[in-house]
Amino acid sequence: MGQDKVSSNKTPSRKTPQALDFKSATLYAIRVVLHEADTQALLDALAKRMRDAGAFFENEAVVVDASGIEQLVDWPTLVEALRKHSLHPLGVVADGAQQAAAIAAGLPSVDVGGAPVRPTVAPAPEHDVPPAAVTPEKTSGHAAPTAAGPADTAPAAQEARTESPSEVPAPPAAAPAAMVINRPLRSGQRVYARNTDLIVIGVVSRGAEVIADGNIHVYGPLRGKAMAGARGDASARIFTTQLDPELVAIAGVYRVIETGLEPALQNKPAIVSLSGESLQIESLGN
Amino acid sequence: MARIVVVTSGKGGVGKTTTSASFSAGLAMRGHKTVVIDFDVGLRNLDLIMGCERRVVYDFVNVIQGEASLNQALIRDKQLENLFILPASQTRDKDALTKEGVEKVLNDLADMEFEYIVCDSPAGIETGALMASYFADDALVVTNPEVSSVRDSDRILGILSAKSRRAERGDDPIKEYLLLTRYNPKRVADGEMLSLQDIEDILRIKMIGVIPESEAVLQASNQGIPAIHLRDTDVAAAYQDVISRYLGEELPLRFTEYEKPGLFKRLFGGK
Repeated sequence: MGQDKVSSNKTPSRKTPQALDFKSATLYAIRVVLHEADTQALLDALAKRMRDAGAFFENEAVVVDASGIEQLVDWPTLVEALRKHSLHPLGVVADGAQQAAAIAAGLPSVDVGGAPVRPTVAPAPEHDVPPAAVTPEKTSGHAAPTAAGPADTAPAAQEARTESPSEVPAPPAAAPAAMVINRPLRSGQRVYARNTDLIVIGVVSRGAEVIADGNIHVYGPLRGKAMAGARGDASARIFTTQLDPELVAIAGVYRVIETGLEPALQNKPAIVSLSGESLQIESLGN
Repeated sequence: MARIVVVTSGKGGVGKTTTSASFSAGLAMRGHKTVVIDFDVGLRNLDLIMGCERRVVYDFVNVIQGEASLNQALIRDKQLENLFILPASQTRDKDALTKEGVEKVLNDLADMEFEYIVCDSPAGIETGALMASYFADDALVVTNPEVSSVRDSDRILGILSAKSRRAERGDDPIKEYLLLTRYNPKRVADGEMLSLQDIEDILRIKMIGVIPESEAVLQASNQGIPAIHLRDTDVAAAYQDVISRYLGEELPLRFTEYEKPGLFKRLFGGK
């Protein structure tokens, strides 16, 4: 199982002195859900399923889910049968005595959660908001470039200020599902969608802040502050059905709207995007 | 099942205590056994508005700390026999309110078959205000027609949706009702105050009533009579409407349009 990782890291020009590295990995695995414990019934069902499926499941990693049955399974026999069918059992989902028996047969306990779902995100804690998202207040109505650097450390963000925008690190590649907020955001509330888009269904009041590493969609009046591309994604945009913000920002380029927008845009559906170094606000539809 | 209603606003001086007194009296007038609790520990006012300040012996904090029983601390209203007041302490520190203590008192009141428990929240977003709203089922958010009051109400609505027991348990959210007080249609028409529509558009919650600005409120407070008892006044009628709407009736809003005084009124004056 671990061979892949090791082989992919054998580039000879590595600077680090270590012979190995630890990195995180996410596996795709088949879940084999057991409905009964009877060994013969399981072996028969397994043989039938593998015959029906042809080579479809061959050489797949397998997690055995025994969480639904209480009677003890004959784990050594089941593991052997799975291997014989060219399946690679990686772990077991079970608890209590069942779990202990599976571990004794060489299957580590794994946690795969409930039904397979797309990854979703919870609001990140306040202190995790990247510094680039929290732009300094400026009283001018002009768009001004600010730091759009990595969020890890404050000094890094400082350095990014002097660099060209092209050296801004790329946004995270694989985004989880968008964060959806299905309630009004009131004055003093702040929501940050880390690594993803933010969708708000309802009003974003004056004094509320919505921040996302991706795009921001507000289905309702956007009256507070909205900061998209908080970690420097210059392609992020802000969409709303009623634009009346205190501040909009994309990738750290922000504009304070002190005296309202021009009548053609004020309280209208609109898109805010970044074009070069300046923010563009366009009316949506007509 | 007792229903816990918090009367809150964020900003001070907008009419929370006046509303708590009239709202609880109004529910009692309709035959519901009601108790109103003053959460403003250290600055108690409710007993004055209810006209029972001389009868306060034990208070809310005494009950929480086990120094008195609920029956000893509850004061029966002088006019309505199914209305009770649980006064605040004037001398204690507000840290005396603990979540466990408040919860126990609320549970005990529910066991005493109170139908409505009205919690008069102090201003601000400190412990007292958080305790008053934490256990609420419904919230009356009292707002005046001016921007700072509306902004503070917005803030309070955010806190209600995030920091209440219902929010923490993932139950249905607190039912929020907007109550506009000190509404002066003439000053709205003159552009000195925010209009009903402006406020509804900003806060976007159900409007339960509009209480007109009136000197009668001040007089009622000074006499220790909840404003809802004042005969033939706009204020009392408006509060009665609030009770009806809270109990499920659909009524049009009153006292929201400015009528230019007619010739007769201009000639003979009067208010």
